[in-house]
Amino acid sequence: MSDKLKIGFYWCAACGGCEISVLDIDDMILDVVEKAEIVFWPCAMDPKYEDVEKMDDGEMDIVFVNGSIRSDENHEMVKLLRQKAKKVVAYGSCSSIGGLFGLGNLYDNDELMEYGYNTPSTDKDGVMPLDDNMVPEGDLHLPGLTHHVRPLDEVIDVDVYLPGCPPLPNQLEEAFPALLSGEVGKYDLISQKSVCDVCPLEREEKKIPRLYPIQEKKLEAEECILDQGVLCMGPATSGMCDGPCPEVGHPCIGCNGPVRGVKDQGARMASALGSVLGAEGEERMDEDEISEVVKSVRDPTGSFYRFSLPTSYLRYKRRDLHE
Amino acid sequence: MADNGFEPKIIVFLCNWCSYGGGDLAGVNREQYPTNVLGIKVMCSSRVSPEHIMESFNDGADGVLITGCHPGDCHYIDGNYKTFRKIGLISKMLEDLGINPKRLRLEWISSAEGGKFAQVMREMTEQIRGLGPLDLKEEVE
Amino acid sequence: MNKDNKIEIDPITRLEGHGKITIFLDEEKNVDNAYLQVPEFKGFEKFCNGRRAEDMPNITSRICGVCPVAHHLASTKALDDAYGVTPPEPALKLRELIYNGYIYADHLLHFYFLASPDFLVGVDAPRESRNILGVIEKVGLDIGKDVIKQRANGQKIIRTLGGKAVHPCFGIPGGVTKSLNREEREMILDMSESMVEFSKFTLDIFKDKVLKQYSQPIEEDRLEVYSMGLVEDGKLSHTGGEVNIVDPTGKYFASFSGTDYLDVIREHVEPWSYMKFPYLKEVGWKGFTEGQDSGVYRVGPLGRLNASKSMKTPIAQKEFEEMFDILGKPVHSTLAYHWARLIEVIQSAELVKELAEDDTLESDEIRAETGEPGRGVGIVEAARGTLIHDYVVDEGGLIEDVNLIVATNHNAAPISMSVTDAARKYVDGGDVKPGMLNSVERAFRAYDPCLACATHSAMGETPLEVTIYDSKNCKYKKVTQGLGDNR
Ligand code: SF4
Ligand code: SF4
Ligand code: SF4
Ligand code: FES
Repeated sequence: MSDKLKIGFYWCAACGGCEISVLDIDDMILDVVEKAEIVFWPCAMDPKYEDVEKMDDGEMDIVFVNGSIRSDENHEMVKLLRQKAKKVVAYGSCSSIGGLFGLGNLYDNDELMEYGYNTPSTDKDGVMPLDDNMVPEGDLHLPGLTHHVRPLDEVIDVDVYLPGCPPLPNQLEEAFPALLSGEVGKYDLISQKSVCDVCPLEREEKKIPRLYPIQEKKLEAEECILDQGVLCMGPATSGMCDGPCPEVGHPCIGCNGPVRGVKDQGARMASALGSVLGAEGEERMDEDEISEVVKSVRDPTGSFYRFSLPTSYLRYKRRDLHE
Repeated sequence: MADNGFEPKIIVFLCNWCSYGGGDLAGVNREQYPTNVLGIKVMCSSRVSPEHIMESFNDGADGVLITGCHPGDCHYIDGNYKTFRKIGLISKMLEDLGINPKRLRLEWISSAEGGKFAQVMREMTEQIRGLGPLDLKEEVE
Repeated sequence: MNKDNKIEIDPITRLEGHGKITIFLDEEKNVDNAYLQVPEFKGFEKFCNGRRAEDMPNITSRICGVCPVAHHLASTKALDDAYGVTPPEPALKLRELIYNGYIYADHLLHFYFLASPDFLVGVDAPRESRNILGVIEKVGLDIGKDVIKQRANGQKIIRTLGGKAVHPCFGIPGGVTKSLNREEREMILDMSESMVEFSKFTLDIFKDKVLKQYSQPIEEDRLEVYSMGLVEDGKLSHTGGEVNIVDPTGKYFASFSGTDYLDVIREHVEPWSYMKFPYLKEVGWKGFTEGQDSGVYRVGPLGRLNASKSMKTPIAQKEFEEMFDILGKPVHSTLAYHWARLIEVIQSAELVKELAEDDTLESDEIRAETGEPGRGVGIVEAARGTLIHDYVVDEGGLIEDVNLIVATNHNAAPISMSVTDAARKYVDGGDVKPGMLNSVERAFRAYDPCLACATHSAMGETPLEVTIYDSKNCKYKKVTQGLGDNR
């Protein structure tokens, strides 16, 4: 028992998919528990905070943290885990690159709340969740939200990044043994290849006269989706997933974030798309026509940064426009 | 809200084949333009990637100006068209992220247009001065 | 405040990220009230605004990674409606197939991995073994491996059509992106035989190990509220038909589809939780109370069985009849959720088999042409209950308005009430009986609450923290799901 590694799992603001992904390695979980003792995993086991608090510093060998940082509680907990763990792995895209909830960074917290509690189906009595509440029997406290959604490394040091929404069994088959044997560099688990490089569909980098919504374009199964004029994030996305989405005829939506060494996935996609967008013989096109082509890329911000806005250069919406 | 003491920092990417020459000519002709601009020479405007633009803002630029050959004149045939489309996408992305897209500008300047070069630099500087500083570094807790 | 009155059960956990119960005591130190708080919020409704409509299935699937297929399909259906398109038959069947694969996998996950440790290993067992590994120890490695394999079967169906088991992509407005080839269909057909067998086996385990030992809580933990679920020609459905609501006596109350949900359901907001509390508009919000006069209703497996006349498949139908013969209809016992869930597992396995036999799944006719965008509502039954996605799509195909009512939200009030109920039973004169948390937790777990959904946020199986305050509002006790520590 004692020579086993001690590992833990924890989630912050997450969807739960990362936890499920650990179960999706099926039988391999039995190999993992052979080598490692799971000492902390609130999802599948009864959790105990005091166990963690009582631990010596660095007592746990590896802690896997998934989810983004969205509340002070997330922040506090990961600080404690950092202290107790030799190695912290940012597990999944939320924790390593900010993740999909990072789209919330396009709005203020007030806007998010105001809208969420004033939907067509809510009682419009002006009641909104508050941090501090008096109920007839006493006080109830709700934790406040952080100013914006953050990746894990904005609040603690991260030793290894393992993006993926969620990381897939083929990634984990490599990652777990490597992590358990201790030979993984910080960015080793992020592929230098793009999804295009591993995609079963062949990309010719054809000129694309304009983009179409997927529902308006009948796709040929064997052809590159982007070449056919439907947005695919493959060129700007890291390919450790082996491209399961284009394999089933669906565009890559960019969930792994940028390839190793690239910081800003959205800018990279704008670059890739800018190069192929436009008709052959476009020299004769005027600026208005080109603007139209660009407009066919609907919602570039939300589409290119769907999973990585919090780790882009700009990170969250600024107030430069309304002064 | 122009800030009187504010001197904008502006990154200007200059295409080697045209606007860089325009800049030279402006110098030879002793055209006056502000010293707020920091020029970076590139082989073609299409060498300027959206990442360079985002990074410039992130690193403290208040404005970014990209200059290239006039349509049809790009030495790499369609480089400037690519640039034009990339700038279109990036402008929209900047706007969505609450950054005034006027901080990013694209201009076609040939090597014969020394006067235009100086004028664009003056305009851009005034425009950014008017917009005020862009401080992305502020940390929010 | 008398110090001796304060029994601090040390902060066993502060994992309050995702679900938190606070109990207040009265002067006699009996339970005055209990609150279930969900302290997380992500703001999906707002940040979906401005996104491309066709991306919504893949954006909203991240509301919950435990039931991504459910959000994905609800969203796809909302888009069908918004673009005024009916997908071709093979596309609908493929969606149905992937969906039943999901129900199968998710219900098994819940039963074996999350709920059964309490039943099969026992709440008295040491904490370290109250998990799936403990279950495997108890039932034997062979069955344990079967459990893993069978859950994986459901995931495999999802992966085959959607590329990934968690957050698959397959739905687009008007259809799906992929059909099955012969080989894939035969592989699924092959699996489906064992899925049906395993689902029957699982229900037998439940009857043998749970029903017999826990007959008392099954009778006692009752909540008499309305029940809601999708039905197709009276039959329990997860993917189509109308939403049916029956009252606490089992009588028909209302049904709706599409935007009519707004006439039937409203959501109450409490300032102390990020979770909203839906109720029946016509009856009204009367607070956290049961009965005919309170607008509170339940969804999920039990809500669905109560709201249906029958099941879609033969073996499930037999079990449906047996459950209602024994417990009467409608069933108000909270623990019967497990029973209902396992009956649904049988139906899902039978449906997978039935669908996999159909070679129209190999057809290329999997997309229909879309019309002009507008408003659309998509309703499905997630494992945990009804999901409603309501979108307005603008001319350019971007999202203009979004409303989401998700599974665990519907159950928010009932869960709070079950928890209060359990607390009342087990806290007596300030003495917290050892069984209290077990029972609170059991009540809580029966719903398979997925607070990720509820706040469009956190993780499904939630660590619980219960804080008890005395009548002077001083902290009295703090106890959590780490039950082993309380004795
Ligand atoms: S990375 Fe994806 S799967 Fe993991 S928690 Fe975030 S949204 Fe869920
Ligand atoms: S389909 Fe997408 S991922 Fe595949 S080659 Fe084309 S652009 Fe790249
Ligand atoms: S193909 Fe793209 S969207 Fe699909 S898993 Fe890989 S990175 Fe994610
Ligand atoms: S060479 Fe000047 S823009 Fe291409």
